[in-house]
Amino acid sequence: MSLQFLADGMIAGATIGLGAVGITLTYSILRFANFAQGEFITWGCYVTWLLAAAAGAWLPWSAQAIDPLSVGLNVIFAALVAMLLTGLLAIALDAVLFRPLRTAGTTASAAWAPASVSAVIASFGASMALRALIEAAVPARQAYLSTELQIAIPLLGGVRLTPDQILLLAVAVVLAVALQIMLTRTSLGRSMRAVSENPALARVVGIDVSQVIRLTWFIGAALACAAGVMLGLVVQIRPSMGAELLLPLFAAALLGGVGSVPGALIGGLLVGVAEAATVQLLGAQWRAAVAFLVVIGVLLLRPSGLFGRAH
Amino acid sequence: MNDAAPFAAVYDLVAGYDSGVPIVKGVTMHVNRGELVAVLGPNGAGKSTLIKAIAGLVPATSGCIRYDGTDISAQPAHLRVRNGVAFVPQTENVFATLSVSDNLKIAAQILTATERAAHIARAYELFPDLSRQRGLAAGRLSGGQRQMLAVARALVISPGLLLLDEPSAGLSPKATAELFRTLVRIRKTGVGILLVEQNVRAALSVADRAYVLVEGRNRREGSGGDLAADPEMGALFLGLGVRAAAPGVPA
Repeated sequence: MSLQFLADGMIAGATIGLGAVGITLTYSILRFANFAQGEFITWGCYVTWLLAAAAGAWLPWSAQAIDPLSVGLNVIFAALVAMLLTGLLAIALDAVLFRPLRTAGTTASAAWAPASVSAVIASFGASMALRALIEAAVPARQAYLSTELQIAIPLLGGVRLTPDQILLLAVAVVLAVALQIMLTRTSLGRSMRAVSENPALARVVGIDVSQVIRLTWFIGAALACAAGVMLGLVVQIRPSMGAELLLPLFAAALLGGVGSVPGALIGGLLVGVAEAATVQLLGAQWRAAVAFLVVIGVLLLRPSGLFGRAH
Repeated sequence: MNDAAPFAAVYDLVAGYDSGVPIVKGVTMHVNRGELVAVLGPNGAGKSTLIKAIAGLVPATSGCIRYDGTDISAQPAHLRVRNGVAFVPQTENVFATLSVSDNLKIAAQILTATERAAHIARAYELFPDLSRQRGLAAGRLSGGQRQMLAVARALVISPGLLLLDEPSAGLSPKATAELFRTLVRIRKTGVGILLVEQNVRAALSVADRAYVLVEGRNRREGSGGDLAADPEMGALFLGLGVRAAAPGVPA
């Protein structure tokens, strides 16, 4: 069999992995499964699309594709601004929806736990509302970040990738490394680990827990936006694009071990490659089953995931 | 008490959890610099709630908490720490998954970059045992060492006021004695210490003064020796056996 599935799977897996980081971060800091994470992917992609169109109309030269890529500076600039805006959207969502559900933690976790069921349900609601907003605000027509056809470059072993895909993989690696350094080497990363383990004690050692929570939302949503841009470069942009990715996102977060950021990234790659292998071996109709099987398998065999710690 | 305002004090403090039922129902007390003050009382007297309210973990509904000349009643917990009010909770008082060294580094984050290394080195000097285990996950320390790490972590910021919630709970008599000797040493450096304790005898043997709370209100106060000799204390702590000239921990 051709090794092409590895390359395809890694592209899809990088997208899933970046999206899953937000799920694992939200869970480890706030102790709930955020079902609205998929919408950050969708919103990130749409905001990028709108900004890129606006930038292209204002400065037509920016829409010129940068050889050998299929997109111009307008898309790259739009993606960066969209990451910022998607991060702020998540912070705003937390402020109006999730924060009122939390009570200030006075003991380690007991005071936080009761909020988690309401928070999960609230995230379902937020997901539907965010998707409906997109559907209402954006005219239903075909939207693409890039319409240019690219010739794939043959690489080793008969594997072919387009220049866009090679760039996307490189960006994903850079984001993953930057995130890992931030989490392990900086005081913000230490603070996030501290809040994740014991929020009440974190306050006692002088950590501004609200600030850490805001940054957690921001990072998770900004990476989801990056995932949305990656997705938008390979598929048609549509309001359900993020929601359709939700199951693979959770599969990746579970497989990596909920709470582990490197785990979410590696879990994403594994889910992506497994999906691509399934498509190549069994056919595309089986793709959606892969994430289900991963979730069931992890829960049955190793509930703490590959890199998670037992709770 | 002299004419000058005390270093740290609470006045008519009412505090409780979110349910709205106050647990501390009007407590007034103070701690001076370099003074070790114990808060005693039977179970449910509000000792723990009082100390958590001073640390900022439980909201004060009325009354006032003053520290070093300012009213900190409305300040969030993390800002009180930055101002020098350090709190050692009774349980889960170290980050179990982080190493001993990371526990101290987290506490030192609020210091300036130049202070950090020196303050952490001083904490290791005070607790040589911890220095030998700095790479170990805090969750793997013994109960006594964990308590030492929690105190070391609180001292890293050079606090003006050190709050301890039942630090002897779960410790062996030997570990308790060692901990209390350490507290006496810390007090001599000018830190004000407020100590909530179940272990009345040990607490009175090291405390300069003590307050007794009953049902969320002040009941008695006095020097450690006076209260240890007070016959009412035995009645308040039925079964705890407070006796005059109790053999305690050498200071």
